[in-house]
Amino acid sequence: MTSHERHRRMDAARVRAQLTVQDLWLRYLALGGTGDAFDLDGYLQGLVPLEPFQQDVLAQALNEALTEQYRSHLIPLSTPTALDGPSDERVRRLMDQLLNETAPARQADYEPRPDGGS
Amino acid sequence: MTDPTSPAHPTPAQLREPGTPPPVDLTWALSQMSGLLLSRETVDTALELVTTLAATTTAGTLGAAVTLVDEHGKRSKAASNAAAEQADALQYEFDEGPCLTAWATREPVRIDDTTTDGRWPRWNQAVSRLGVRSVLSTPLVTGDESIGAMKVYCERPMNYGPHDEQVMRLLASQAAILLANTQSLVEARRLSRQLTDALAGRDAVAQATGVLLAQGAANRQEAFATLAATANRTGRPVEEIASALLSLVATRNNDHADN
Repeated sequence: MTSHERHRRMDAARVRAQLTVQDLWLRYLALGGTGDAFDLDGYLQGLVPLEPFQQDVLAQALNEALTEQYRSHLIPLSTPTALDGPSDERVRRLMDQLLNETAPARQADYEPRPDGGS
Repeated sequence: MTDPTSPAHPTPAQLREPGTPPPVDLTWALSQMSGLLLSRETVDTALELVTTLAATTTAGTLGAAVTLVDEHGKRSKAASNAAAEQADALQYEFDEGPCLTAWATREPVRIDDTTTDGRWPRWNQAVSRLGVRSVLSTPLVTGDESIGAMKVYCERPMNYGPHDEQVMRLLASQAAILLANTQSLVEARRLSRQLTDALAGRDAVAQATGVLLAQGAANRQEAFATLAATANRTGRPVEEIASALLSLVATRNNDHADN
């Protein structure tokens, strides 16, 4: 995907997620984006460039908004599934992996064991 | 602040000499508005106050209303009674009427008798059936912007004169400032609340990024990418993943400290 296409797709996603530029900017800000609302507006309209990392933060903000919107339309089943609990477990497992695997060599000295206290 | 629905003491039109200064009520009216800006600054309260003041400072008024024109199109935001509300609704339905003209031209519009006035034939005909015979409408202008109109309706013809026009003009200039400010205040509050929320999320993401950097992530970009990848694998927002990571680190540190 060329950068030219990317800003268009992002603006289309913004419209699809029913966000104003300001709403989107607030979400992007919450994720750590450092551009101001005018930078975003300019980028979405193809007027000014946005550095790749900022584009990724923006893309993540849009993806989350799209997911939220999609989920809000899902119809719950009459029989509740047990998906919520295990999902928390999964997050926890992934966190453990993150903390243990990112730099095993350097961390070995002072990294507490995964089940350190118990 | 006193209850805006408790009326002042309208001076009957017939007792006033033409050309006399506005009645003392206006001082009370203006001070009510300046107090509102500092204390009960909600748009609804402001609108209610403005319509009540318009009704009480012009003699013989049946009903008063404020039309605010914003990005949502023409809308009557407050009316002191059903007749005023209906008369307003008819203006939007026909897309014609004194208030829309007052708003567009930024000049006061007075109708002495709706049964003989020929400027807005459809609207005049419709409201005369509602019992509205005379109308005075004044534009609400702040700076360069016309934000709407405030108007008073009367069931008697020839009720409003140049004096009422002058009173309404004074009232409208204050009301316009009040309404413009309350609206921007509400907007500023909303933005401030959203910003506070956004910054709380940003804190979590920044701290989680720091944790991953301490774990050996090459740079902030890579740390963010890791958080985003985890978020996408679990279908959770990045902020939630960041918070989960931080609480896990805190738990481990506590466990570690206990040993």
